[in-house]
Amino acid sequence: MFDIIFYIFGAITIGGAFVTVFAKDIVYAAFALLFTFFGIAGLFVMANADFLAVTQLLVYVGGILILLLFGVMLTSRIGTVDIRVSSGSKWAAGILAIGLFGILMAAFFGTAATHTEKDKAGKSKEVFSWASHSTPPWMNSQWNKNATDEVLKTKFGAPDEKKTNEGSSGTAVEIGKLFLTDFLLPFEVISVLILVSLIGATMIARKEPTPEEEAIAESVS
Amino acid sequence: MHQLISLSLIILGLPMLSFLIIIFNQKRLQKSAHLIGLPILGTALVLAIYICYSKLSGIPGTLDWTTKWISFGNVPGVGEWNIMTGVMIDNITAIMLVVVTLISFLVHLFSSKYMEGDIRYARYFAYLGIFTFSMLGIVLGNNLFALYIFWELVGFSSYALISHWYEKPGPQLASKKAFIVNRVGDVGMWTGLMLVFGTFHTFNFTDIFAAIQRGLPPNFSFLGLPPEATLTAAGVLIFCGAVGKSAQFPLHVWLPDAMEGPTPVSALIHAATMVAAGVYLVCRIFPMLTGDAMLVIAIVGGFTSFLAASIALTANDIKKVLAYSTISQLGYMIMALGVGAFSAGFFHLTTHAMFKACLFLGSGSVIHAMHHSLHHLHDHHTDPQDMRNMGGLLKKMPITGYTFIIATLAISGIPLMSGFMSKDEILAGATAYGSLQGGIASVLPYVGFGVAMMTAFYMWRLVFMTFFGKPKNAEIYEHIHESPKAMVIPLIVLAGLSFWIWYGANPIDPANGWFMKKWAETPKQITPITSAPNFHIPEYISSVIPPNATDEEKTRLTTEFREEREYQEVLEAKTHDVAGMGMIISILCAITGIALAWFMYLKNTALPDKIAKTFAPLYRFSLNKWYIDEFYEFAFVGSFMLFARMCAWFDTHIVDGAVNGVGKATIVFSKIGGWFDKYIVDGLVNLTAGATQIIGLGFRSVQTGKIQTYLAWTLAGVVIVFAIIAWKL
Amino acid sequence: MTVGLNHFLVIGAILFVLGIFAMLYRRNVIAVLMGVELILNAANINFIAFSRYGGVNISGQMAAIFVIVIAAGEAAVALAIVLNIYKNFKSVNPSEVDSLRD
Repeated sequence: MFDIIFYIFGAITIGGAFVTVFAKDIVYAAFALLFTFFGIAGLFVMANADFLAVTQLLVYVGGILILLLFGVMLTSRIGTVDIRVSSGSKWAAGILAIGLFGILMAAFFGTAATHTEKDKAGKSKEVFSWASHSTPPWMNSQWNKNATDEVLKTKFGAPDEKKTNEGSSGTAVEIGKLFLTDFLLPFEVISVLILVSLIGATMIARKEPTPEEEAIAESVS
Repeated sequence: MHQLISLSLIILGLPMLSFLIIIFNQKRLQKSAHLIGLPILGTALVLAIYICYSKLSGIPGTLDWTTKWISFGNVPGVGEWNIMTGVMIDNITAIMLVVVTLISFLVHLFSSKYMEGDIRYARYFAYLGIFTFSMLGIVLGNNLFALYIFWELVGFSSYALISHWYEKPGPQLASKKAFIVNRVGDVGMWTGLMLVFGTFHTFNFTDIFAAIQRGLPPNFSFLGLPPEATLTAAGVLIFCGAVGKSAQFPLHVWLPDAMEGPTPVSALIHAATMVAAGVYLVCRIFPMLTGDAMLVIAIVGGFTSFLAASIALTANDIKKVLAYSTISQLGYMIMALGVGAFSAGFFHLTTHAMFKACLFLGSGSVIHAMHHSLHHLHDHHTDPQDMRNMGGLLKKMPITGYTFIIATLAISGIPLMSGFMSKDEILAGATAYGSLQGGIASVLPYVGFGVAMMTAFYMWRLVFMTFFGKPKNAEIYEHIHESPKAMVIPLIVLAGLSFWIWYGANPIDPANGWFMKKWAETPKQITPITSAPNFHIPEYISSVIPPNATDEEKTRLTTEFREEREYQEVLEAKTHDVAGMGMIISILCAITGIALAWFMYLKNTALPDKIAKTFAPLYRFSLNKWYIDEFYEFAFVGSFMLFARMCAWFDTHIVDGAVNGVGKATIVFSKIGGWFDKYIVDGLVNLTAGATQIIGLGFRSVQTGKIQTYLAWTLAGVVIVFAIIAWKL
Repeated sequence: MTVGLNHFLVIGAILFVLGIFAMLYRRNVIAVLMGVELILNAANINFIAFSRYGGVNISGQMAAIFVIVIAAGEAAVALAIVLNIYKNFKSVNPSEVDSLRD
């Protein structure tokens, strides 16, 4: 079941991506991108990243895609045809892309590392490092094995085993906790970055004031 | 050293002194060189007369003085080796001393007037001095080497004097011809000298003859011939020098051309003395001449005398007639020595010197007068030496004329003259030899008498054309006058010496005169008996062999007879027998010749031309000197010029061609190098630049300014780095 | 076969490659930006995959959140730049924006 849904979402993603790349009309490309984002959100869900899937939808589809569409609409000309490049350039890009793909594939399938792992029964077993687990280790209601967890453990005590994980509580809680502990600095930096980009975008895209408008601005301040 | 030897050395040195004084003071002595030459030669003459008188009247035999000249030290295999030299005075030498100095002195005297005003007056007298010195050296030497050295010096003096007027082309060519033809003869002479020296290790006459008398060594061989044939060869080779110097056939061609020189020079050198040197040489080597050598010499002399006389018949230049006459008389002398009549040959040498010098100086006087006359008439085209422009000069130049006539009487062989005595003896000797030797030699007497007739003819032809008859050119005749005293006195002296009285009491019996009997005796020949002339002497042997002797006895006595070398006595006896008959025949020949000349040139003057036309080929053959000069030009000169041209061609085409070829090859190589440099070396450089440019263009294409291009390159780099890391490429 | 890490990675790789291709190939800067978004999303998929199947527990998701935030900021600025380009060059063809060429 899981696999089938995975494949469906995968197909949506990849199909949407193909259309994005190869569509002649830019608006078709933008809408295909929408489908791609939806597919990715689905994949996120399959990978137990529920909060991230929602964030993806909110930000990408609700923000970035709209932005792109605005951009398309603002810069389109009636009758502008997307002029194709000469075949040479297409082949060069194609070869490069396929080369890259090949490398990635080689990296994925060539590095099948194994590690010994003690079974629950205490028997050591050879398992693939990145073999699929039915559940991620940290879903097994074990505390994350990092220092922060130890601090939290001392502060708040050991987590209540009963309360936790009768079914997943979702990742939002965990993410929230990490934002304010381990990832506090990046969090703050990110917010400054957003502010700066906001100001910057505004600055870059503003209309040049005409001389009379500048005179008015001068007199006001 | 004997007193006479030292005096002879002084005589030798005096003309050299004259030469040295004059040659370094030519400018100062330009008009007065004769004032140096005449006293010096006069002194030499006086001393020579003294020596001659002392020797001939008092001292018999030979005076000899030898000294070491070049010392080679101790040569391994030979021992002490030195080259000796020295002076020898015997009767021959003494007489020759007087002859040379007398005629030299008279020529100096004559030249003082003849060469007056000449542009090279001083040089002339200087070279006369060196010539006299050289001639005296030949005569005084006691060995062949010294003789050879002076021989060459005499040749050089002749060269210098013939080309006295060297600005003209004639004298230039004539002097070269004289010297070169002489050298040809000298090659043979030197070969003969070396042949003798190589075996006997001495040049001295006396020593050589003594060595030969002892017996010829078995290694005496020339080109593999046995010793006796080698002795013949030596004699003939040395005779080659005489052939050259005394103008015998085939080397006679230089003497007529030598007439380009001044006439006194012709008188001194080419009549009286230098040409006599060849005869003198044969006289010196007479003892070592074998019978075969003597035959060769006799035939050469006989043929030469005939050849020259035949050419003199048609010559029109007065000096050319005299030149050919000289050659002919020299032929007589050589023939005389060849037939063994040594005294007669030397006698003729002496008498010929006197009358020939007189004839030449007389012709010089005539030419001088003709020259003056033509100069007076401002005529520079008529030849003053051509007899066809003369005629009837006797009235105007009596002394010249009469002395000339006296000398001509002498040469023709008219009794009461010295020439008659000497020529007659030669003819008698030739007749005797001819009859005794037989074979080819029997033609010699006929040749001799025939030449006597021709001599008389052409000499009187000359006299009649020049001094008698009507003058051919009245204008020229008008201005002829007798020559000055200085020129006339030598003529008188020499004419006076042409009479019989100096040489013997009886004008028609020279063999018993003191010259031939006492002064110039025939020396004994020392050749081996087996190489003596092969005489048929039956009638003389019969005087020795008793009538009823056996064959064996006959052979023995014959051999004994021969062994005692009495063939020379035989010859003398036979000569004595035929002398009377010979005399009569020779007088007849002379008279015939004179009469014929009188008839053709005085009585019937149109006759010569008629005869010339009738016998046109013979006439032309004689007039062109038997075409010998032309033949030599074609054969020898032509072949040398051909060889020279071949060498020049070789030099131009092959040697220069090789050099040019190297030059051309260098050019080709440099062109190849240039091409190489231009296309390959520069090409490489240009290639580098072009490649750099292309690579640059290639790299420049990366900078498109397009973002996507940059991105593409970046990713390509990433892919490659990944690939390298992943697969360790 | 059971869906595992590799499946996610392959999808991520495909998206990544497609994004690269779009960046190199498309003649409209908006399309290039779409390509950039695809790439970022592919990276996100990668992070999430490893977070789920790999040994990075939940840090992967954290990273993915940061990526999304940065992508949003970058998209805003990029669009501003694109509008500026459009204003100056009157074209949205990246090949015509080549003033940096010599």
